[in-house]
Amino acid sequence: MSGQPAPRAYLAQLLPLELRGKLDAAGGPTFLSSRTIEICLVSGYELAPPALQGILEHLIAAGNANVARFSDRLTNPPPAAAHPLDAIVLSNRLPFADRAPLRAILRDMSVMQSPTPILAIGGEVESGRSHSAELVSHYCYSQQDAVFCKFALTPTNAAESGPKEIAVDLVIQLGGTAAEVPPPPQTSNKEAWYKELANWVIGNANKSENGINRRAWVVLDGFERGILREDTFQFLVELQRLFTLGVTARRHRLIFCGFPEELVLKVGASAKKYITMPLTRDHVVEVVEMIVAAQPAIPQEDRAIVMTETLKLVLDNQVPPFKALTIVGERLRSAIERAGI
Amino acid sequence: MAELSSYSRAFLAALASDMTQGDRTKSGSTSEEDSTLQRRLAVLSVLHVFTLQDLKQVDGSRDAVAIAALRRASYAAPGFRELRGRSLKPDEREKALREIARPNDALDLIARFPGRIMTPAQRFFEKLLAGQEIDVDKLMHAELLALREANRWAGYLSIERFTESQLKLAVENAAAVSSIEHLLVEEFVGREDELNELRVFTGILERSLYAKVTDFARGGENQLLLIEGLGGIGKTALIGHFLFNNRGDTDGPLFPFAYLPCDDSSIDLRQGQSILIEAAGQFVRLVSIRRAIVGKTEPITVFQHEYEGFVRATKAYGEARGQLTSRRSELESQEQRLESSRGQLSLLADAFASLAGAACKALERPGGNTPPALLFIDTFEEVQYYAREQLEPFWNLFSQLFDSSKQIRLLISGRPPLATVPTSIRQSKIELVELEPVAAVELLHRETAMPREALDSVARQIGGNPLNLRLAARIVAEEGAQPGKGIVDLQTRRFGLFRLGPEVIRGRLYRRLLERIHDEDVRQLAHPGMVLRRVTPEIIEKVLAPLCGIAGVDEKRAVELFEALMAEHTLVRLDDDNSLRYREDVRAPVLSMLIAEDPQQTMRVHRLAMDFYRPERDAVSVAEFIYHGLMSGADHHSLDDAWRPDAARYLNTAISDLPPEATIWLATRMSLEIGPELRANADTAAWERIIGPEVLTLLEHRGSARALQLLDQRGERTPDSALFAIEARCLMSLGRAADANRLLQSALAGFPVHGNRGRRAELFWLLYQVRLSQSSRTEAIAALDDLIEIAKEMRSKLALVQALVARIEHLREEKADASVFQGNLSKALLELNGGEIQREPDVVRSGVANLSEDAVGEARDVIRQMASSLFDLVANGRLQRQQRWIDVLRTMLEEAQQQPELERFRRHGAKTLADTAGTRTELPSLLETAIDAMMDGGDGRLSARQAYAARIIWVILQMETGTLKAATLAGLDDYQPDWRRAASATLAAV
Repeated sequence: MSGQPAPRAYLAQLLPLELRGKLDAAGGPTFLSSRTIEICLVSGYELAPPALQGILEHLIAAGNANVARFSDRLTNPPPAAAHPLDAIVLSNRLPFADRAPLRAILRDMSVMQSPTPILAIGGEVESGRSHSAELVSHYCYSQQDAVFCKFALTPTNAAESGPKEIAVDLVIQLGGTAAEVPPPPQTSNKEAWYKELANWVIGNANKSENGINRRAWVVLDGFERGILREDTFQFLVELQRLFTLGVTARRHRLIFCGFPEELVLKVGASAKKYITMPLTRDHVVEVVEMIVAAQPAIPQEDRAIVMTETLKLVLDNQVPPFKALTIVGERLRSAIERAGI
Repeated sequence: MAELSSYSRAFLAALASDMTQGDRTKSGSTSEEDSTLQRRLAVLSVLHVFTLQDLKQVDGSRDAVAIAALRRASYAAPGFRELRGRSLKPDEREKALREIARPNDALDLIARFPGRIMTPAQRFFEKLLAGQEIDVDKLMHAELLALREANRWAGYLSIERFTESQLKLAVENAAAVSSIEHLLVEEFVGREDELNELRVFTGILERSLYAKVTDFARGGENQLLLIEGLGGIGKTALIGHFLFNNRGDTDGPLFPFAYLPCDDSSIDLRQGQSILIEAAGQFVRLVSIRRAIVGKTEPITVFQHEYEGFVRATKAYGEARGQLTSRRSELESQEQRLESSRGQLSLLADAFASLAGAACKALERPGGNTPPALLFIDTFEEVQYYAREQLEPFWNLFSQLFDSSKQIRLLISGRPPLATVPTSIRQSKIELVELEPVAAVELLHRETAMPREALDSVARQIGGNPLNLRLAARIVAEEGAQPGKGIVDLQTRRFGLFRLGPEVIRGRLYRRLLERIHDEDVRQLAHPGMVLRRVTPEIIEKVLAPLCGIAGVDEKRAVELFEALMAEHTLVRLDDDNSLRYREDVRAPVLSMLIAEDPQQTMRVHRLAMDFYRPERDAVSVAEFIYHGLMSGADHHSLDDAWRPDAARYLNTAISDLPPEATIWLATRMSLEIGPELRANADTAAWERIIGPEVLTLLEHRGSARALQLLDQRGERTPDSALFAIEARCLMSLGRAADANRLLQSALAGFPVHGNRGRRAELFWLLYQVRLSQSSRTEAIAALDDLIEIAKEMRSKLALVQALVARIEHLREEKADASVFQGNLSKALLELNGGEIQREPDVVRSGVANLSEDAVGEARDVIRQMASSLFDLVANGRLQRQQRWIDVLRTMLEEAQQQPELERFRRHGAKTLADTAGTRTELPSLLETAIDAMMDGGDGRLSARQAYAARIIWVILQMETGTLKAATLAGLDDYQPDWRRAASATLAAV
């Protein structure tokens, strides 16, 4: 941005007048740039043209031709879902078909007086447990007061994912800093430290932002017994217990995508369980229908064939029930991208 | 595809290309990327965690291609999100390190990163490369994990310091101890007799012939061992020492054990399943350690199978409990529903007994005896104040477990008097007394490293209480001891002859220790701070600092003082709510001294604390407000107003502090064991409060007859007593309808005109039910009509909905016109808020099902809010396929064929109708389609699609099984006494 005014002034002028006041008064160029984009995203399609459109047009004018396709997409907003938890295409263009029971549970959980602060999503490997987190992320993205944070445990990182590492990564996503992590105890009493770490996470979730009491949706992905460290398990016991108490139970939500049974049993009725079911052909049809419907240039008489051919492409080499959701999901995603939804 | 338009063809071609490309991208990077990547990987492989800054240091490059390639070869390092730290994937690291090959080259590379992130794994890696000493035995679990990782990397450079199996075993053993390591006291001395008794009890040591003969005569070995002793005498340390020293060998744990402290909020002895679930979880962890060492043996497979069975039993029990809170049920009487729940708990106990047996087998050594499964319930003093009736289910559960399994052993430790155990349980007791003088000196010696002879006098001065000795050791270590006199200026004897009680000595030792706190402000506030039970920075700022005259304590200074106090581990512990709690065995003796020495100052602290907590309404604050109110003799009316049932669990440990009149006040609210004399002297209102929760516990776990026995202790009731309804339901459950009818009529006749409206409504509901059971239909409906009139004026419209549903069902049976009542029902449903709909889904669904078909669309908001309960119906098999309603669905789906916007209904509906197996397989998809349609936004007006979807749901609801007949009346929360509200989580609906 050399030769331009100060970063804040430069970025503020890219925003529509009604949004300029929302840009932070101070901060480095990287921070301010991401804040600018964030403000545009939160504003979504509220303004016409959308706020992001202004920025993209500026970049096109500055010679960034690649940006043009994004701009085109912005001019065709996706069909508005009544509720973000009912979306079939998520804000990151991922498909999210079916799972009505999951959507209903999340809807219940989105209400402050919900008796369920914890959701445990089970099911077979690759059945789309982790994919459920995308819907939660999409929901949080659409809410002013919701903040999404996630820690994914994998066989690769499991050995080094202890209580401190998980707590730190969650707190960073909640806007805290690693420097404040409670130090490990001098004595052998680890239990107190796990409590302290869990309290630290919740304390950061409870911090209000611009006067708004945030609602944290914490997703812990892949926390099955097999790869879970013993100390991490103990930390989770403390963390999940806090999610069932007082104001935390009302405001914040904890979602396990894969979970150790003996952990969730401890919180009884505070946790609801959902088992992911394999996608059926009908569910894929539903998304493909949407993709084809978003192409008005396809003549009416072609639609049935285009539907069938698209479906063939998406389900090529896949046998129902579709358990390996990564493949079908990726193909649907690229179709969604192509359709410009 | 020749007939397609050019646009369609192009669209499909582009799609095909996108997808092929997408599939290919997954297969890997290009060769061009590979060549530049390998060089960078080689350098970065010596770092556990690297950042972009490190990458720049490798070759000055920051180009996007390099970064993208590195991202693929690495993953986000846990705990380093802030720095965007990454770690190489294991296979990439292995490849790169093997290419480096020589440790010295690796060290040279490391030296290029002076600012590298020093994780434990990095530290161990560098130590291994440099050939430095590492003492595995001294490492904690997390450190061992890091060493294991670093050792693997060193192995790629041909350094073989530790074998993988050696570290794997060390890691597993450390994991086994991690759950009990906080029980361990480093300097444990004496207690040989008690340890031997534990060894015999757990079967580690062979019983003597005499013991065998005695056990035979008594019908078997002891199942329960009580360990009783004063605070600080070393009960937990004894168990910790025993478990730690017998936990395992190189083949893993020796026996399954579970540590179950009563001060853990997830454990509630009154709810037996919480103990079983916690214990099962701990068994799983121990068996998984064994599995990691010996592999998946047959007994381990059996254990896993039993655990699956246990989880199923837990689920079934949860569902049975859920049935108690669900108003709709297929069982028609309260007793049947409670019996079903009790039956499931019994099955759960059986499943646990099998699991415990399987755990013992899984840990058994080849050729050895089958070990016992040990459940250790610690800090029993937290619950021993409960009324006997409250602990009855706990003892019943263990009686059953002992009957089902010879392997299960229970250890309970607490302060005297410990527990009244049913005589049917074979038991023995260890009474822990003070340490012998020799052991006391030994303990002081180990704690101070001073010569034993110099410590004789201190041991004589302090006595043999281990906690007191440890405190004395801290003082001696700093001040020294005077030959022959012990600690200078510490009086521990009265008239120079009789030693004071251990608690008084402890109080004096603590006072001495408090004087040694370096920060003067902390020292000043620590002492009066013990009048409080919990301390937070805010309390320091607003209560303690003004009281102690400490100037300049703002928010920041208060946090500093809080942290300084937190460092005093012997005084305080950090609690769940991030407050500091004084240890009870420290606080109790000091509090007695404070009250005796400066009662006015103590009273000031109580009053200031009351002022501090007065505005707060959370359970913890209310408990503290009440505690300080009771301790300072505050007006009971202000405490009555503040009380909330969930504060009770925070007051358990305060009971021993309270004066007698305060104990009575508390007993009427939290079911304490109080003497028969006090109970007899209580006025009727107080007696009802004392007896109410006990009746509910007996009702839940022992049945209606036992509950009635307790109610029969007194004949008189307050005019709008909450006991009338409970008594009537007990009578009805026992088939004594005429008695119930008489009781209800008499209660209603004497009910005050302006009495509690909700309780009056409840009595009418019961009268309706009892008359119906006597086949007095007309009188029953008259009672229902009275109820409807009362319910119209109630705050929540749930009771009205429930009453109207019953009324409409009668009219339907008579084939009479129900339209007026249906109109009222529609209005009542629309008045419910989201919380009420979520709390009472059964009542709300019944309400929707009883609307007229045409009006159901108007209730779409209500349907939307109960959507997840509709799925629960399907999941729990509570829909019964009925041909009559399937035919209605068929007609509706035929209508859908004519309307394109209902296409999806037609598709899913066709399968539903074809599904002859039942409703579980295909009905959900039709339900989902209908709910999807209901969720559609639109302009707020009822669309044709929504109206259609509402009707589909209405038809499906007609097939719901069960009845509200055995339920209590909903919507009474605001009208019930707190002890009934507290029970509502489990007994709301029966």
